[in-house]
Amino acid sequence: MKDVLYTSPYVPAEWIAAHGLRPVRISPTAGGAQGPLSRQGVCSFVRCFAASADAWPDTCGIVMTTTCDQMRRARDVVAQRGAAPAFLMNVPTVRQSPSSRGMYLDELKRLGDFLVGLGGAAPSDEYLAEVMVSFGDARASLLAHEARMRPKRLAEAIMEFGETGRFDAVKEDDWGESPDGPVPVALVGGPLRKEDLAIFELVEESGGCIVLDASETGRAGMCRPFDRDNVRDKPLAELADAYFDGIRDISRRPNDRFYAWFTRECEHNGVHAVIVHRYIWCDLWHAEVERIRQRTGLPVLDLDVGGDESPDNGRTHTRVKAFMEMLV
Amino acid sequence: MTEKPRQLTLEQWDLRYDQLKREGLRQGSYGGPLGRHLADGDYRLSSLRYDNSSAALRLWNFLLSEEDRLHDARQQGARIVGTMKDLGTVPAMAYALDNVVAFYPDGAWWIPCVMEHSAGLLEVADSLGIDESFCPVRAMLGAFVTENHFPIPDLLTCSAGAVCDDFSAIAQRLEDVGQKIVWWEIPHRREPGRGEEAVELPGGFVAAKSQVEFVESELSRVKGSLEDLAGDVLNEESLAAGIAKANSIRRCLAELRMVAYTAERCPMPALEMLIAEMLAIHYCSDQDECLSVLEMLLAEVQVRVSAGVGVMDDEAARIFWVNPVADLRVMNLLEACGGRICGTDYLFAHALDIIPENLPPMEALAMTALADPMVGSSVDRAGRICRDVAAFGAEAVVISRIPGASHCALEGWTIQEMVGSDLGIPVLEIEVSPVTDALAPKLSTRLEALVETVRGMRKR
Repeated sequence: MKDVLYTSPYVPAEWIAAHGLRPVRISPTAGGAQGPLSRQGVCSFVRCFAASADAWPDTCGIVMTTTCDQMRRARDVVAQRGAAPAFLMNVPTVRQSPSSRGMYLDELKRLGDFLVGLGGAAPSDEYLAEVMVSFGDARASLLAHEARMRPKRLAEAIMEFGETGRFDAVKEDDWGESPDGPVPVALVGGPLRKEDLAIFELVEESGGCIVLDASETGRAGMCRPFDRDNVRDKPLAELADAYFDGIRDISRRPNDRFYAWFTRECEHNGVHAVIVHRYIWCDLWHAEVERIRQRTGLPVLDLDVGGDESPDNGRTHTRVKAFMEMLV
Repeated sequence: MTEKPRQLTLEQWDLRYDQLKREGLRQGSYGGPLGRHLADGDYRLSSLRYDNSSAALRLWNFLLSEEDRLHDARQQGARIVGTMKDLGTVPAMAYALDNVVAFYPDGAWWIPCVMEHSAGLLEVADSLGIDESFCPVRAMLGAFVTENHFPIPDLLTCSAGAVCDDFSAIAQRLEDVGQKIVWWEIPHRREPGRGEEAVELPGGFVAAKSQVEFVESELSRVKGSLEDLAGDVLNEESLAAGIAKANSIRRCLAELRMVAYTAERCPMPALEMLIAEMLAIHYCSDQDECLSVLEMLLAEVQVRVSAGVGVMDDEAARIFWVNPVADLRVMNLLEACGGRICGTDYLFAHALDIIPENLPPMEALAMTALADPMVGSSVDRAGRICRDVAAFGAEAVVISRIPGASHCALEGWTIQEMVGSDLGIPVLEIEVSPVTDALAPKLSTRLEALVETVRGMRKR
């Protein structure tokens, strides 16, 4: 089966799978190819994504979205490289607009045409419903174990689910109780790369524990649970609604729903501090740092990363440790 | 034209002003010596060089009196609309209503330059977490918070979607500090799919009809907000009249650009032409006067071209300029280095295209909004630039990066590649910050090198 690569949470894996293709929400690795994406001002996550997509074996298509200007413009570069056809999905930004939901649904249909062009087959409503139930059950199973999994393992499991669509049975060493007396921390920001998961250990080593992963690759980027009746009756519409309504996204205008969710989750999880993980040149997250500080009233670490290094490097290490020292 | 065209300093202009007054200069209520604007804190004016025509004097006074005009409009009970991230579309609707004045808050990005950082707007943006890694349009945030510049609008609209990230983030921050915004979606303009009905937009791009319909529905929401504000209805007739008026300005500007940029000798300096183009976006808060100002400038240019005179010699390198400069002084710098502007894309090429008058008005406005080169692929924009470079006969392209602007990182590469491969002319990419004094030697060296390259290519 051929792989369709993407990274945005707005791309429903179920839709790709229902077309008979394998959805792979790739978690890029650090670094990136030379060329135009290495120019100053290009978001390093975009660079890493493009490089990882280039290197992925067996790719038949790449799906990018318009949720940020950097990705929107990078699509031209990715398409020119020719590794695989690249589709740019228009994800609506404006929440006030009653037409936005319709636009998102239309874009899913257009994505469907693209997938058919890659060799996929347009699914029947029944098959789509079946795929949605399967993915929904796996997602629910993963989240059911959330409270008992070590935070880093949970984040890894969510990434693995994105890459494989499966949540395998939890192994014994996945369980973990939080270390004694840790400072509960929320991690928020853009998508994490595989190397970025080391932040979880870094925080634990420093006397904290990431009790809320509100990054784009964490809870913020998950669709809401499907309504089974709607799945049966109008699966595509339900898929669109679950993703459109469920994802908490700072790129929406206005983005107050993200803050309503985030502050609620911080309270629910007893969060004492926030780490904002953002890439240099990601204006969208950079602009939210001060707002997060004001809205939560909590200590905030503005952790900007360059994309070519791992969290094991001195700079990130020192900053996280110093932040945690202040709190412990 | 009574005096040989040349560029003057501010001090020289005040002397010339006295001379013009003695000769019977007629001015509007906003007229006066340019030097008086220094008292408003517009210190950059003393570093600039200006065209010596009375048309240019009127243009500058019109521009520099905009804030006063807006405050007067507020005093007289007009409703004020701030149209953010919208280069020419919503103002065309707003001005179709009586007693409504639209302006472009994004224009505050020039305040740090014009006031040479004395207004403290960037510091205000810093305090709100919007630091120097963002585009200088962050000054707009400072302008709203301090309320020391334009009056706070009665209605604020802002497009979102296929827009640059930094502006989107800054506008969201603005809402967070208490400014209510009517957001409207502008989707990324894409190629029509197989079997999809396509439409040709003003300016030549092609889009799916479904996208035009979507944008029309979004602009209808904005129209509703404008109607609520004005307590009046924007029917087809009034919209059509508004479009016709907007087009009269666009036609005048199109003529001005064609005459000025294709003339053998440069008849009007780059700075005045930049300001003239900017007027097309929102008419500097007075649509009727804007047309009159542009007509006077066009008349001056036509006289100069007929007489075969200009502000520079005919050896000046013909440069196509991409993106507006954060520091107005750089336009003078180009000319001091031996270049002249022959064609531009100041990020709002679509605001210069004629809005169709043979279509239902809202559909025409939707097509105009979707025709924005920034809303589609960078390849589209680069293609239009190449066409315009050829049409104006430019010999080189300068891409002026805006510090922190999210689109500049990749767009510049795309434009360079296409101009190089399709036209075979040199391309220079520079970055221009709000005050470039410390960088002037470096910028000069690079611009001079470009001019030398152009002249060298002529000899071949």
